[in-house]
Amino acid sequence: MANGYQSNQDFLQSLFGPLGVGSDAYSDYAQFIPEVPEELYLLTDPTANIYQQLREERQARLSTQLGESYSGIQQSLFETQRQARGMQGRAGFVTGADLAGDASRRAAMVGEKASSAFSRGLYDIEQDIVEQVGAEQKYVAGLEAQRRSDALKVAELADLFDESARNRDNRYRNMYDNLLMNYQDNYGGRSRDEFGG
Amino acid sequence: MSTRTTTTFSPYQQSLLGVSAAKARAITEFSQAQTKTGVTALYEMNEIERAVREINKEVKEEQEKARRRQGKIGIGRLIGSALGFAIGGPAGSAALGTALGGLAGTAAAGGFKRYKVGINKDKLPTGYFYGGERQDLRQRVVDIERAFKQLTKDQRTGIVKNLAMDYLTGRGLGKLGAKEIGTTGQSLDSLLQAGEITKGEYLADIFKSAVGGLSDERVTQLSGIADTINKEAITTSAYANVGVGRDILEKGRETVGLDPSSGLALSDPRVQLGTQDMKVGEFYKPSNVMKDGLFPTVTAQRNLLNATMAEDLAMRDRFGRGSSGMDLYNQLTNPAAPTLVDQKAEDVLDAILGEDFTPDKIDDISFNFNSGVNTNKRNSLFQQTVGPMYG
Repeated sequence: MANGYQSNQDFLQSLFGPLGVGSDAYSDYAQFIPEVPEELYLLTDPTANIYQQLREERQARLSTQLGESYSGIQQSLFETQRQARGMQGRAGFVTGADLAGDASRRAAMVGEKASSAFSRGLYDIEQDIVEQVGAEQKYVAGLEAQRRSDALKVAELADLFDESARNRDNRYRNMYDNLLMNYQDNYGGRSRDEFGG
Repeated sequence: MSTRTTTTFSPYQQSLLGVSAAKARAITEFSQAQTKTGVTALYEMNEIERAVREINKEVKEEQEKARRRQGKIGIGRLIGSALGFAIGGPAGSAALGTALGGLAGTAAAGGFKRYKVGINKDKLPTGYFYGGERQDLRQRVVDIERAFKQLTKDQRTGIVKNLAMDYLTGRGLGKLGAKEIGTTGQSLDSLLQAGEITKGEYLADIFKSAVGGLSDERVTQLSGIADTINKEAITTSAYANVGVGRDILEKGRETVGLDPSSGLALSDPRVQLGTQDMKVGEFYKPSNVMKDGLFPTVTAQRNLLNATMAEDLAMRDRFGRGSSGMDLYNQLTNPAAPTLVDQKAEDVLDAILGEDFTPDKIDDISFNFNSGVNTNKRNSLFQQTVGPMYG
């Protein structure tokens, strides 16, 4: 079960239970309280599969990009070395050696940048996941707030918090039963319908 | 590398698509839930308001029915009490008759029916929201039913109280019925028993006695009736005591040219009109006096008194005041009545016309009226009987 998820019954119990409202009183009202889909609660967990998928996909892209960067560097180094060997016969060894050295340094720098971009890409993935989890948590919290607001409105309409109304209900029901009994005692043999109830 | 890379998503991208779908579903579900809540709440509130309107309408109709029934019950009780009093009154059960009559009238008007409202609780709106309002509504129905039940209970308690009240009222009215009219020794009860007044007249007199007393005119009429009864009773009793039946009297009346049953002169307007049995008070009501004219009335009154007094005197004579009872009877029944009879006629005329008449004045009036002489007295009498004169 997703972290923080509550079915409607659990939600109503957590909301009304501490106020002394029994489940028999509010169970009929569950239909007026919307459910928050469990999938949305899953999104509030950074270890959820969806984020793993995100991570894997983004990492795969980064890896691909890094590999492509390295391949380019290697290709560039081979080209540079071939040029350097050709230049050694015509312009001298030093010139060719210098060219090879410059190419190596450039390749090293490009490699470092690619590596740095890869690391930053990995960080950005986690950062995105954190931000997305935060956004989903806010979204779910918003839905829960709306659900509580709706539940309170329903409770008000249903007089669930009106202790006196519930007591009155019982008292009137008892009074009605007593009246009915008295009536039947006084006018025995008459039907209940005749009494109107 | 595949040539379809642009249309093939990576696993992460596919997962992202799933995430987007989940978010879209969440937004949809939230929206649907809020809409459902709003629509349900609106519908239920409308249902509650509709139920309140229906209950108010039902209660209003039942209240109107109850009000109408209360009116009917009041009238039914009054009629029942009056009938019960009339039926049970003179027989000595006026109180019980009044109470039971009132009860019967109340029952006939639906007084024992239960008040109730036909609100079916099963049809009261149900739902998820507005539990307090729905309970208030249910409580209101219970209150209404309880109020109507209380109304029934109060009405039945009222019926019991009314029963006692009607009994006491009937007893009080019964005492009024038994009260002596003047110094005649007769009461409304005895007059009713004797058949001299109708039950309607009896009830009217009783209720008039209860609310303000009988008018002087009515007391005079009743006194006249009572006197007649007394004389008849004495005569009948006397004849019975001496072993002479009433048939002898009637035969005697016939012999001397009187109406056998009433003893009235054949010239008496009542005999001529075939109203010998008409009560004294009724016959001499101002309306009858006006209709028939004064002097036939005076003559009839005199003849009536002559006859009854003659019987009375004849009876007294038979009991030791002389030996010529029948002669005296004949003398007394002569239109030229003796002083004693005139005195009685004077009393009656005083009662009817409200003036101090003497037999002489009567004769004068009669003479002057018949001869067309306009005198103050005649004018006064004429005005009193037919209205004012002009010119």
